[in-house]
Amino acid sequence: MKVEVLKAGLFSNLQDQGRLGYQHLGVPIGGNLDTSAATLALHIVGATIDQPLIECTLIGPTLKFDDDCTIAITGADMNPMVNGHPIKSYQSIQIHTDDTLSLGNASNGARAYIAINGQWKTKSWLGSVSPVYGAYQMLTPDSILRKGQFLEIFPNVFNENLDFDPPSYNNRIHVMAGPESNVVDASLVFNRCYTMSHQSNRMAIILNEKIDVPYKITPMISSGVIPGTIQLTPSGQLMILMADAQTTGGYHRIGQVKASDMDKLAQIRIGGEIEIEFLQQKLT
Amino acid sequence: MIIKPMGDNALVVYLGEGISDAILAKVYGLYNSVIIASSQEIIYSIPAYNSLTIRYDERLTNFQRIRDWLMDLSANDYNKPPSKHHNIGVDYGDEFALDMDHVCRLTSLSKEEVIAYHSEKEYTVYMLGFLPGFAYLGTTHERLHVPRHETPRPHVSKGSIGLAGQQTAIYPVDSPGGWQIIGKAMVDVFDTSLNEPFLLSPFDTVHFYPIGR
Repeated sequence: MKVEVLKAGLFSNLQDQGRLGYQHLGVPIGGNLDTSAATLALHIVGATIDQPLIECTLIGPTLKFDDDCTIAITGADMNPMVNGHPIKSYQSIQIHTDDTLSLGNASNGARAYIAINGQWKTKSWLGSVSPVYGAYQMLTPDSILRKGQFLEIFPNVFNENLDFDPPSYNNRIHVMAGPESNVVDASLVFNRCYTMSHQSNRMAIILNEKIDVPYKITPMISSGVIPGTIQLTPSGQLMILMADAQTTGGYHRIGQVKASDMDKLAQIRIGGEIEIEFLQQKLT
Repeated sequence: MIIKPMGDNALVVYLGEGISDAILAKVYGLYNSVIIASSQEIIYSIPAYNSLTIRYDERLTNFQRIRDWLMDLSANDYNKPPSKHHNIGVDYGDEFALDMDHVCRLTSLSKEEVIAYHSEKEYTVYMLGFLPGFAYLGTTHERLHVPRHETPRPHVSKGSIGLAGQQTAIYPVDSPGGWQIIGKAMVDVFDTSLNEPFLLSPFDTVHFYPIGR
C-alpha cells in the first residue's frame, strides 16, 4: 500500500520508541513525545508497540490511501476527517482504497498520533525511524513528511472495534530536585506559572520567563541529561529537555520533571501556560 | 562516590572531582560493570568526565534500591572497559582550517606550532555527546586552550576538527557548531553504512598526525 502525503501539515514526523541504549555514544533517544497517546493508538489498530506511527504537530497532514487498512488517531484533537466527513479519534477506523484522511488545526493539545497497522517499509537507523536532528536526511530520509512523499506500508486490516475516551489535558507539571538544584531556591523557582516560548521544539521546551541569577554560578563539568531535565543557562533561561535532546550538557540541572508528567508536556502549545509545582522527594 | 537523585527516574554517580584520566577510568569501569550486569531496571546510562548518569525504570525500582546496588559494587570490582587506539591523519590546510588564523592570534602561536602541539599528544575519549558520535577528546596542550566562538557557525562540515577549552573533537556530521576549526580528519568517525557506525568509543585513545600536502 502507498500512502500519499497530499499536505504535510506543520511538522508531521515518524516516531516509535526511539533508540534506547546508544546514549553513551551521544545518540539522542528520540521517540514519541506523548507515549501514552502513541501506545494507545497502536493498541487500537492491533499493532505492536514498537511500530512506527505519525506524530503530528499543531496542524496535521492530509493523506491518501491506495488500499484498505485500519487506522486510529489519538492525542490532540485535530478535527480528523475521511473524505470530508468528521471521524472520531480514539477508535478504530476502517480506511478503504482511495480514501483521503485529513487533519486540521489542533484545538485541544498540540500533538496527534496516526497509527496505521501494517509493516512499514520506511528507512530506520539503529532500530528506529525517529528523525535525528541535523542528520535525518542521511539517516532516516522518510521520517519528516513532505508533500508528494509516499509512505510504503504492507497493511493489516484489524477487525476488532476498540473505542476509548479521549483524556482531558491539564498543564500542571510536577518537578523534583536535580543534581544542581542547590544553585537556586528550587521551591521558589518551581512553584509558579511559566509560558512556553516559540523556540521550543522536540529537543527542548524553552520557558519565556527568565529567573534572576543574582550571582555568578560556578561552572560545572558536563554530565548526562535525560528528557525532563530542567537546565538553567547563565542568563536565567530555563529549558526542559525533551526526547530529541543531546545526551550531555554543561548547564546546571536544577530540576527534573516527574516521569509520569512527561506526556503532558508534549501536549502544551507554544505560548501555553505551564504550572510547575515542586515536589520534595522523600529519601531515606 | 557521591550519588544524587535526578527526579524519580534517574540518578547521577560522581566518581571524583575535576577532570583526570584516573577519574575517567573509574567512570568507565562503573559504566562497564552496569552494562555487564544488564539489569532490567536500568534503561540506559551516560558516562561523562567525572559522572555516570543512570536512567532507571521508575515503575520497577527506585532511587534507594539502585543507590544501594551501586554502593555494593566496590571500585575493585569495576570491569575495565575494552578500548582501542586510533591514529588519525589530519589535513590542516587552509581550505579546512577555517579558524587557524584566529587560533594563532588567540594563542600567539604560528600555524606550525598549533599543528605541532595538536598532533603531539595522545588524547582520551572523555565522553560522547552533543551529536551522535561527537567525541570530546582531551586534554589539549595548555597553549591550545581557546574559547568557543561566541556565536556558533551555522554550518561546520563533517570531519572538521575543532578546539574548545581543553578539548578537541571531530564533527561526525554537518552541523552548526561553535568550536575553533583547525583542520579536517581523513577518516569517517560516523559511517552509517557500518554495523558499528561510530569509530570512537568512550575511553579510546586518539593520536592525530598531519598528512603531507
